[in-house]
Amino acid sequence: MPSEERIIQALEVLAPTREAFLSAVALSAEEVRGILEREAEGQENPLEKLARELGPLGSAHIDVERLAPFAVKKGSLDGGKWQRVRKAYETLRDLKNEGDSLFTARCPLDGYLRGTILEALGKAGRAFGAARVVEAVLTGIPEPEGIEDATVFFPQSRWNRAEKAHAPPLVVEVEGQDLKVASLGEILEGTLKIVLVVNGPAAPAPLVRLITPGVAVAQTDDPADLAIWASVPGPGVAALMPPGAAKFLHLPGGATLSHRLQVKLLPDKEPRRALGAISAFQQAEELRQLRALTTPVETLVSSNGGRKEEEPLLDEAGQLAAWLIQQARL
Amino acid sequence: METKLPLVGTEAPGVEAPSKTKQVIRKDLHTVEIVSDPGEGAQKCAQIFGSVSAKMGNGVWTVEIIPAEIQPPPRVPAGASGNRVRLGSAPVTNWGDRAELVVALNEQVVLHRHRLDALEEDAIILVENMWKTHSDEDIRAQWAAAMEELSSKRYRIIEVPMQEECLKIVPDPRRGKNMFVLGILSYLHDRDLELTKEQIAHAFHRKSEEVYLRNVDLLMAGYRWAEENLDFRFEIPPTPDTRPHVVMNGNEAVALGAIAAGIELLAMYPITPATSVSHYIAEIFHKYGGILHQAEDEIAAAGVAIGASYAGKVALTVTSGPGLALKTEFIGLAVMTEIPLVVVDVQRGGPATGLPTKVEQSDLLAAIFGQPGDAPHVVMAPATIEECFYAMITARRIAETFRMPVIVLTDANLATGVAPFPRPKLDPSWVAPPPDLSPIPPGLRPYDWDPQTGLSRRFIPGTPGGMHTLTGLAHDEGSRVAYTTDVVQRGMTMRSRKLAVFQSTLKPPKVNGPEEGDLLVVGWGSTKGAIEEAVARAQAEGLKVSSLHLTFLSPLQPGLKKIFSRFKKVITVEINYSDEPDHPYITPENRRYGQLAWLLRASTLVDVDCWTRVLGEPLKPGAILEGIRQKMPKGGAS
Repeated sequence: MPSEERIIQALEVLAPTREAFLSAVALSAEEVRGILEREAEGQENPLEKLARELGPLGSAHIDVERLAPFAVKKGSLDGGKWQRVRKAYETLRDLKNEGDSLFTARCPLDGYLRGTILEALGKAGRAFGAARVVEAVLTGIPEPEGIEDATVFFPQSRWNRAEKAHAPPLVVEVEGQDLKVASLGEILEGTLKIVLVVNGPAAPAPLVRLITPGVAVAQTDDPADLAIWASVPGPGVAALMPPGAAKFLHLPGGATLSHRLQVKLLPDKEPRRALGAISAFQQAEELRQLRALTTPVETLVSSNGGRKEEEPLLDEAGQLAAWLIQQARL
Repeated sequence: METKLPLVGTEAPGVEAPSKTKQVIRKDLHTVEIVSDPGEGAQKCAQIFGSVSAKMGNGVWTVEIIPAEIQPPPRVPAGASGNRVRLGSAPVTNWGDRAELVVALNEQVVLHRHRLDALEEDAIILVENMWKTHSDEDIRAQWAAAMEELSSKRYRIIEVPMQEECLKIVPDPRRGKNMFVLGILSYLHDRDLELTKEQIAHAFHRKSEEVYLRNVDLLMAGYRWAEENLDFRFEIPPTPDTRPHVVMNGNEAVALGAIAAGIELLAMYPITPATSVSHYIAEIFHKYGGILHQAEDEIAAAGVAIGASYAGKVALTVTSGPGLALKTEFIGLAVMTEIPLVVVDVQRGGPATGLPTKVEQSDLLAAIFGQPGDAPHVVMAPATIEECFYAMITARRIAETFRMPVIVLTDANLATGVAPFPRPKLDPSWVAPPPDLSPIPPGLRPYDWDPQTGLSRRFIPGTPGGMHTLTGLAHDEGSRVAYTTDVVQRGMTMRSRKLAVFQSTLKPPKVNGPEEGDLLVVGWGSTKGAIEEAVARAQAEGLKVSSLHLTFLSPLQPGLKKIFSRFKKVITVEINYSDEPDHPYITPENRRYGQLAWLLRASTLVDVDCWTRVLGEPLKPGAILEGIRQKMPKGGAS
């Protein structure tokens, strides 16, 4: 399938999270626009404003003129502050209008995949940076160093937990030879979902390196699998692979690995040729790892000397303990 | 009892037999009751009927009829469960006096309402007739006895074969008669069936489509049955108000108002009748960034709310009387530490666990004075479901401005009653502004009270230069524990001064009716609609009566003494206990007054009298009118 179609497919699957992010950006932009408008108008009578703040019930019973000395905040956005809020608003507005390009990136040939992803996240993260600037201006909280640049680029490393929970999803086009995912583990947090659209020859099981209990991982060419992967809460990486690659789905939530991991296709043939800087050995290791993860523990025990027929059946913990004891040659 | 069956059922003596021509009864106010044993869905039927009526433009006020026991045995008069729905061609503000139409799933529940004098003399009663021919002899005897007793009034009793008709659709009509009844009511009041089906879909949105379709079949069966067998219909023209309206109960209004006010945390422990605030907010709060915390108990709920508020968020806790009692110590802590807090008390009958499902206004003094030590804070009371919404916005703003708790007193009548009101046009300025986190100027302390107003800057944890120890002990301006005489006196004065300052911002209340006269009726909370209806009727009788409704109870709104001076007599009307002054044991010295009356007497030194009832139900305008007549000053009637 051409990469364009797969990108569209991936964007469709990520539609709910994309829309949630854009909607949050739009809502924030609207809020900041309101602040600017009220400031720009300047002429809004503070008493009228206070009456509105009290709501219809409060303003019916409270004399705002008398309340004003205790309730109206003195001072407003002076020139510098107004400019910064204005810039934050422009950032939010631009992000809101950017559309799908906000959620797509391309890793150049021989490029660094992690760098491409971080670059894209940092650009989308300007939304968080803009919100932080506004918050800092409005609350008067001392501004952290570099906050001025937050509306230009706000790296994922500076996002807080709440921001990570609203992470924008990404669809990244990448050549198979550049599909080095091990370093992505460090940036998978919150709700970050990344779909890698892989072009050209690729290793058979590169994403096996990302399998950890809380991360959703999918290597597939099936849109149905991709949809299942996308519906799982939490962080995840999926790769739409070229033909010949392993197909598997790892979904957090299962009590054991066997409950989490579903392997649909496991190539028999081990890779023999390097792909760019990815050696055949590295590719084969990934495939062996996937094979090992799918092999029941009792089989491993059996292949390492076997248990006697008359031994009682052990539960999974018992089997693992038996295997460890055997490995230690106790 | 000998019966004749001109159409479908029994006609009570003294009532003309129905003709084949449909009689259209046009009314501007019309009260319907739907009653059954608990669990038969009378309330769901009434809620849907009320909502559809409101959406069709009628004024609506609903009141739940709830048995005192959670699961009483079937077919006992005291087990009557259901709703009263009052419809009107203008906004409806109370549940009225008596029902004109009753639909009952057994004769015992009608009997109960009859004995409570809840039915008009000429009410039309539609009653399930399966009990008349029941295989159990005792039940047949009960039916006969009930009919005998009911014949003392001019009711028109129409037997309805609900069981028989519903059996054509469902195997267990106990779970379906309510929709059949809804069909009858829809026909009688010419309700929009598509709108009714929408409401059914909404009510059963968690159930399968099969359930929805079965309920629609029952609705249509009831509609057709009424069309073929009843000879009358009602016409209640809609209100002329064409503004878009929303329909909800008071607890939903509190929940939505909290969100509109930018409140970010609700901590509460389930308690009747407040619990449904959390049910409603649980479904939507997270979408607005809010957190709903169900604490392990009432005390913890108050503690969590205070903690969140201390950390800079705006927090709310919701409870009912017994819960308010448990929260008293923490409310005192919020007063002492000057942490803004909004507390909603959905009042129910007391004392102790009292009447969990029934209304009273008995928490007023507890809300104002219930905290040990002197703990000045604001107490306010919305009077309508609409005001429940807006009260949250006002309460949040006052709590933050004056750094003190605000207790909002609603009650079971508002909490469970449903009424339409104009859709609020959300205003961003209702939302709490971000707290001031700018660095604390050198030398400024957390309680550097303004000597005139008692106000000081709110220190949020993490604000540079603002580190201090928070304490519920007596403290000085620096929040250091201090028991020295001058510090104790100064702290108390400053906390109290804020209340006086807030009082100085309040407007005098408006008098409903002439500014002077023979009698002024003063009320608060949910009784407003019933009082104003009673006053209007009294004025129509030529009595020089006016009313005044208080929204703020602590501090009291200003100018009361002056207003009172223009009337020969002032009384309060409340749903709480007061002694009847003519009892031999009651003297002017030991007489216990209604709670607002106590408060007004103390603060104005005016000899305020009271008329109060604790019936476990909302006050009826007719009963208040009777009270007004009794309390009119001698020679006062014009």
